[in-house]
Amino acid sequence: MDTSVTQSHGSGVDRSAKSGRPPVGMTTTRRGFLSLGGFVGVVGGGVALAVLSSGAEKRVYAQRPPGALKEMEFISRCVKCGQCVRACPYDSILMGEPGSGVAPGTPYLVARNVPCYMCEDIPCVPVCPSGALDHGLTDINKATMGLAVLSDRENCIALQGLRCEVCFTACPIQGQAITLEYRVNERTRRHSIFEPVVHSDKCTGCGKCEHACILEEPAIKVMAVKQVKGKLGRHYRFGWLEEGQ
Amino acid sequence: MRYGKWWVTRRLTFLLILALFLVSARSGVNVLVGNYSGSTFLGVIPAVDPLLAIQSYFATGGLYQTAIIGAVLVGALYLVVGGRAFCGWVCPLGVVVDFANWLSRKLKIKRPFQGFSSSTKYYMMGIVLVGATISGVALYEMYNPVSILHRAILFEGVGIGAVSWMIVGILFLYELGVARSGWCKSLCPQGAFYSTLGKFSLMKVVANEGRGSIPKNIGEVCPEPAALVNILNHERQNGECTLCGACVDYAGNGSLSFTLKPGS
Ligand code: SF4
Ligand code: SF4
Ligand code: SF4
Ligand code: SF4
Repeated sequence: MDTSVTQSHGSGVDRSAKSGRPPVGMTTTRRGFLSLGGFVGVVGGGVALAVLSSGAEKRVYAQRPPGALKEMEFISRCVKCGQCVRACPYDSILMGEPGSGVAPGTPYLVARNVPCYMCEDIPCVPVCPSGALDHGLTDINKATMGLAVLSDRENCIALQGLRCEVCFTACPIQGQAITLEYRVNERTRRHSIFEPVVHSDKCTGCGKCEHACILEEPAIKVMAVKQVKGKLGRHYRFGWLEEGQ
Repeated sequence: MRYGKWWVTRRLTFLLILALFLVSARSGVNVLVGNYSGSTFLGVIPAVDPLLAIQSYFATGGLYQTAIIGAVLVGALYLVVGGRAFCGWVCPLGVVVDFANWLSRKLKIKRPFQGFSSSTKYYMMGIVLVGATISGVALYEMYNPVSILHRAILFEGVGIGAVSWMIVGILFLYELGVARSGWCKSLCPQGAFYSTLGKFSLMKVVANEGRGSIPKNIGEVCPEPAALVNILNHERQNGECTLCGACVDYAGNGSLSFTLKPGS
């Protein structure tokens, strides 16, 4: 109703200014806000939006800055201010854009381009006003930005018997997050294969290994812990581990 | 005068805030770091968009202390300077929309649609909050065009680019060729939130008796017809006014003026 004001109030305005009386036909309308129809509309629209949001869970995984809460909580807690982006001295952190597959406005890293250099003082965390990056994280070695996985055993040249070790050397948690495990090269019978093995309890998901991998496409990649890790379940027991305890 | 003292002050304020953000973003000087959703002023004072904080709280059931302080500070600020002063003086999308409107008038484009009623935006805000509560995801904030625009301005090149500008472009075209104040007046949930604050805020525009007549075509300069009607009728403030001061400038004779006092 208020949309007609621009045309209708020409003379009305003048009249009101002189007489102090409200001009005829000029009332503001917001009375219907609490009506049943409005209520149904808001709830219905809210449900529709919620259905849309449920897709957010299926989004492509993104490597998050250190201290990030669990993905679902993270994307809603984060106020999308980009202060972490600005705090990172290596410009490791990017911001999601609609259509990029990452929740728009949320910070993420593309380790292949720029990994996290695991700053000792973690400057990206304390600037976060929303706590989406957990201020309780003070030891960068305890971060879990993701988990590295040797995703392509067929192209990793170390597994073909060549000496590489590049990811092993790049890893900041040297000799712990990645170890080299060797065995006889069955093809030559004279050489060894040095296999890079990632240990999930030590890996921070910084992505330096993925960044360093010499292949055109890295054979080692950082992914969400959830994507990579299996879970034993109650039916299986590793007896030898239990005996050792 | 169409572009008088208030117009100039308002645009300068807008530019100053934008410049502080840009300088902090590009040079590493920490004056105003972040963006219009959340920022830190002078390295200590937090500011967080209150509607965003509320969405976040409804979605996750929690809110970090800095976010609470930041949201309360921003809310308090607009309770003083006028709820939708954000729209008139700060919001970058508001400027884009204003420019589209100006261009539309210059090009004499006939806009076919009157726009949805100005109460629609309150429903939009309701939908956003109900949606966040049910789903546990603050989805709107990811696609809020106001945020998409300031992220595009301030974070261009760090992940943000073409798609964001396209979304802003759609709203520009909507204002240019479809409906005047089509987004701000009717649809923007953020505008609705600030309108709600604006019902209680101190700063407001009032019509004064005996200060000369109000120009007949004053409706042309006000982007929010519902606000102007409200003012001219001497009714309780309805919060629609963006405090842009266009009517104050245009009347130019004191018949309309800003005032800073509680009540209507
Ligand atoms: S720890 Fe350092 S390198 Fe890693 S994201 Fe944070 S600021 Fe950047
Ligand atoms: S600083 Fe925190 S709230 Fe801001 S973008 Fe980074 S994670 Fe999100
Ligand atoms: S991501 Fe790679 S480099 Fe970083 S800690 Fe894990 S294994 Fe090491
Ligand atoms: S209504 Fe929304 S887009 Fe328009 S000026 Fe206000 S906040 Fe900005």
